[in-house]
Amino acid sequence: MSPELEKGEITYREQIRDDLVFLRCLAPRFSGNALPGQFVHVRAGSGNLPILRRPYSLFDADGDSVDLLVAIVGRGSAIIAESQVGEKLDLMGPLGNGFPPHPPETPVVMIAGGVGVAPMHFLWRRWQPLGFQNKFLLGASTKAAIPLPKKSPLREIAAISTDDGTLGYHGTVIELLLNRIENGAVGEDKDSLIYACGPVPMIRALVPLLIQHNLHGLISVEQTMGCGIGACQGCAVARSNDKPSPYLLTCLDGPVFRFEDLDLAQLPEHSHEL
Amino acid sequence: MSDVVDLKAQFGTLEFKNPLLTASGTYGYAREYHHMVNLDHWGALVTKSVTLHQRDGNPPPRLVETEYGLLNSVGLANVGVHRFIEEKLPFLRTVDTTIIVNVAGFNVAEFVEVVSLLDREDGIDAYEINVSCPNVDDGCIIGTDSTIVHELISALRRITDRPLILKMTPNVTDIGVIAKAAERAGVNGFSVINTIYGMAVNLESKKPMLKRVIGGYSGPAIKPIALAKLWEVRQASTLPIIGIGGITNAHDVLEFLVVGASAVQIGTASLRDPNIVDAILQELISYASSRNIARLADLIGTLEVSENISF
Repeated sequence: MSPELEKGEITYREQIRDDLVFLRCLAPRFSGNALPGQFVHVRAGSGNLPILRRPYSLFDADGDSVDLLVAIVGRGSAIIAESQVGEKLDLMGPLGNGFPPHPPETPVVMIAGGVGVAPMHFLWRRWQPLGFQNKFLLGASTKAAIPLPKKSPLREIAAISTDDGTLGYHGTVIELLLNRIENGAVGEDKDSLIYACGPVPMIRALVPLLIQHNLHGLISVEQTMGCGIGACQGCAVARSNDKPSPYLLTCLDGPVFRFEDLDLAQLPEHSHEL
Repeated sequence: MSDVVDLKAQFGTLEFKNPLLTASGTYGYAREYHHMVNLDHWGALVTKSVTLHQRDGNPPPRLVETEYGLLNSVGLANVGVHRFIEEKLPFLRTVDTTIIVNVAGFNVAEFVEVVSLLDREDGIDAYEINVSCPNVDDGCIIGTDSTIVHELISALRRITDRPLILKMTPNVTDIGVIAKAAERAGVNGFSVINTIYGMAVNLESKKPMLKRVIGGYSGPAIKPIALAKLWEVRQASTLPIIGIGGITNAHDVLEFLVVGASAVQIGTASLRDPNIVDAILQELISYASSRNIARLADLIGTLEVSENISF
């Protein structure tokens, strides 16, 4: 599916937190072809600044709309998040490689940290009607920070951890995963797959656990992105193996990668946004 | 696109259908955009730099957005000339516009080898000679030394009849000296400017934002610098010039034409809007129509400067 440019009208907006907004946006030219794990590149405003679009993993997509979770972390995301119902967003998508089809007979554990829930939610939404028995672990800093719209069924279905213990498991989502591994709920079947998206420290904490318990999986990563389409080569990430090339492009080769393919030590801790 | 306004841009023996060109490195090999943009609308497509050998590029982070511009440290990541000819050139031949291949190298011999390989291929209208990449070791060395520029252009002039366009670095004391040396060696025109050395710092971590510390700065912030360098080259040479630096709209384009550019390149702005060519063409036509300008090219070099100002 080739990416398209589309100016899509916002049909629903929900302020989840002061710094987090859910947007539903018409995008009939490409929404029906979008896959979980793919992203859209969104122009912030119509002027010259900020210079670059902002990439968002799809929270959901159907025949005519795409859903985005926009965390306000700088002026570009603030412009996008403050867009109102009836206004249009300049979208490019769907971009990047999504998650592969559900592996037959293999349970998948989905792990989301903060707004990293977006691609995991889309994946869960696509697979849930097919009857796959997957687990969903979601971590947030505190109860009020759960990065989901009010009516999301994931609020009931996901196992939730909060750093301050105000909801669900008291600890990080990785500690919750370790807890589930230790009590046998995850990983007794050595074929369990772990799919994850979240802050870099979460990913760095996750990987040793996967190696220790002989689990395999995929991670979705975020990078400052230029063109979003492989032309500018700006969003390179370091590979764990130099061959055939020391770098992969987040936009073209990712944003979903096998965790063992990336040199996580070199992944920038924070995606910088002005 | 217009019956009333003549948008054509003459550049020596080349004729662009309009003065809007892609800037090397920001538009890949153009195929990336063919689903969402009518590539025929560009006055010319300028490819990503092509080197003799495939290059992986620089370690990340490679991009940093700043207040008014963009820092990049891509480092000439490209497929190399052999794969370019095999995999990229066939598509470019199908686009109905002028094709300019940007060539980069680390010494004269490398440039000569790349150009001689490309010269056997049809579908290439000109070469843009990149002696000004700030993101590779020694990348700028050639472009800052008028003797080496002369040697390089002379060597290339001997092996190709296709137009040679020198892409110039602003990171020099006197850009006119470099332009004159290239003109003596038989260059056909100039692209002015490549990115400016720049740097950004993360105050929290006390680390540079780019892994390689210094990168190339582009975007709206550099337009005044680009205009000044264009003006300096204009004073030094009568050869045609392609203006580059922070162009985002028709007014920017026209300013470059007035200062003396025959055409312009758009780079950083097309990352945000890959289809910017159509928007700017429309603006140019409106501007010219509303002022009864029949030929856009009539604006080239019309800057009025007080005669008693010395440069």
